[in-house]
Amino acid sequence: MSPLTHFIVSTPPHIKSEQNINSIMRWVCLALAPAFCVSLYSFGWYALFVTAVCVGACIATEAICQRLRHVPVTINDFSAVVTGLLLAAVIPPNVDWWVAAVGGIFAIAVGKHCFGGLGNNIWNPALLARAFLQVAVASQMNSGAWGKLAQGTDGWTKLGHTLHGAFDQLANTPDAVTGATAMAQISRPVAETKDFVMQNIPGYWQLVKDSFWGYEGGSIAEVSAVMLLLGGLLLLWKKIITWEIPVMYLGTVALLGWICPAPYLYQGETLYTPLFSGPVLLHLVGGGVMIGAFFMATDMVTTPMTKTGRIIFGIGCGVITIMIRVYSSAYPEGVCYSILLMNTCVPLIDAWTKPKKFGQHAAASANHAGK
Amino acid sequence: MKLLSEFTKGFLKENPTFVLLLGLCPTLAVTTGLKNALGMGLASTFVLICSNVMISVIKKLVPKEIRIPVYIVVIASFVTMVKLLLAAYLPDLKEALGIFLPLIVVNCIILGRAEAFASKNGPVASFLDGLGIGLGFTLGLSLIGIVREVLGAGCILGIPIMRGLDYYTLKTCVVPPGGFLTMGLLLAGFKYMSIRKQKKEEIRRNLAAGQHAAAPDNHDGR
Repeated sequence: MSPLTHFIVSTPPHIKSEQNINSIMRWVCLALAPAFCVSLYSFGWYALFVTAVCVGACIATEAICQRLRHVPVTINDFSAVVTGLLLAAVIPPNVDWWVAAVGGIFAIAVGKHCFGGLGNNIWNPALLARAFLQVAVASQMNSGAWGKLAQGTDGWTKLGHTLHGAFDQLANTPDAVTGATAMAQISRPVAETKDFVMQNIPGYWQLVKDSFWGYEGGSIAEVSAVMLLLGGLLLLWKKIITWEIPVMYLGTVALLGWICPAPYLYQGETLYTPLFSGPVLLHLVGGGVMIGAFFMATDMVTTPMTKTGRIIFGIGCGVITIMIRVYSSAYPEGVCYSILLMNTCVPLIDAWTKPKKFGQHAAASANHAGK
Repeated sequence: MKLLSEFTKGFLKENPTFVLLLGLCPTLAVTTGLKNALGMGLASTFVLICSNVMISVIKKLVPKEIRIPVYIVVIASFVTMVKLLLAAYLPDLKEALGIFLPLIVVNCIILGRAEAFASKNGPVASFLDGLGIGLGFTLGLSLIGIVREVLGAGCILGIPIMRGLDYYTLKTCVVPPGGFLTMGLLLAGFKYMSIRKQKKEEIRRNLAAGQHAAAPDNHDGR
């Protein structure tokens, strides 16, 4: 046998990646798992039910849409599951089940298949559905829900509880109550003194700590910043996401959150806190910025293709987030809209940051020299 | 026969809302409910019929160079009439339609029919054309209005369909973004059906052609 028989003749590409849709989506599910575990433990069985409804609605809608479009049904590739999980992650745990179902149907049918299916959608389907629900059932979407974990005054001692003790205590607390979330608390607070900074709101450091560990109220899987951070690092390590968007997003949020003067109410009039005094840590760990930076803004389909593009994208998300959080009187949180708005700009960013073809620059300068 | 088709073409084949995509501005703005949609549609239909007939009658008197200003003046006078009539008899509807009532003057359906049809055809044909297109427009508006009202408020014509249904409503449908969404999805639905119909016809034609071609073969062969 000549060694030539071992050669395989094939067309390019010759280098194949181990990654495919299925493996990427499974890793994203795995990365979301810790945050979901904390939240489901905190919010109880009903949150699990809402999550299941979201995922189920997404899978069913995906199958129906693909049948209607006469394309192969690909519900086994986990992409609908990920959309469902991400949607469940950003809606409050105490919504009615039909709201979750409508969100799932909207995410897949309008957010994805109206644009041609996976890979063609302009906006992140889960966030699009959240924005839709935000308008459609505003009263349900704006009720900040607090889980069992959030109801204790001191999260640190709860973490130290034995499993038995924890169950004992949890048996006597309701599944979820509602109250202002961390972001709502720093949105135009009423101040007692004139020289006010956001760190002066009652229980500021407790709020930061609780938001970090997951003892805060909020949407299903956005409450525990540390678990989302873990999941995000897992995705970075598996090279499913790149560093540019999360780092630039969080960096911009921290920087602008620190710089921008925030409005507060003092004796009925609106005043502004001094420059360079913003609650940086709360901006980073509170609200949906962690899940936004690591899971939503890094969606491969709806983000720029080049490194420069992703840096612009991350900065843009951060700027819009802070602008909405600090200066909007209607919304305490701006992560969802910031990412959707920047998704809209992606074709433009891609056109701007299109890399030059090899030799293009040399040819241009040679022409110039010739003249 | 030809006159009948002038009347019926506005419903499906040349539906101004779903096929010609004309007059989208009032379509999106006033279709928050069936009542407004019907009011807008019928007001436009009235103006369309009157201006069509009038323009068809005076078409020989109008010099070509200034025909557009003349059409606008004709349309504007009928719109003013509708506006005053509504103010007298249906002030609520006038209030609800707001700025979009006087803006019927610049509705491109009406000027479009004047330019494309009434200035070339007789008064009877122009009347039927105006009626058909106008009712087609009303139909389109009403369809969007019904969808938005049912999904957004759980009512039809302001009357609740079922007790307790207003809890299960999606407020997105009655705000402007919902207008775009409903319009887009209905358009997609219409396009889907028309493409399917086309394909079926094509298959039928191919089959007929195939049989025709196959027949002599059979005859020839074994």
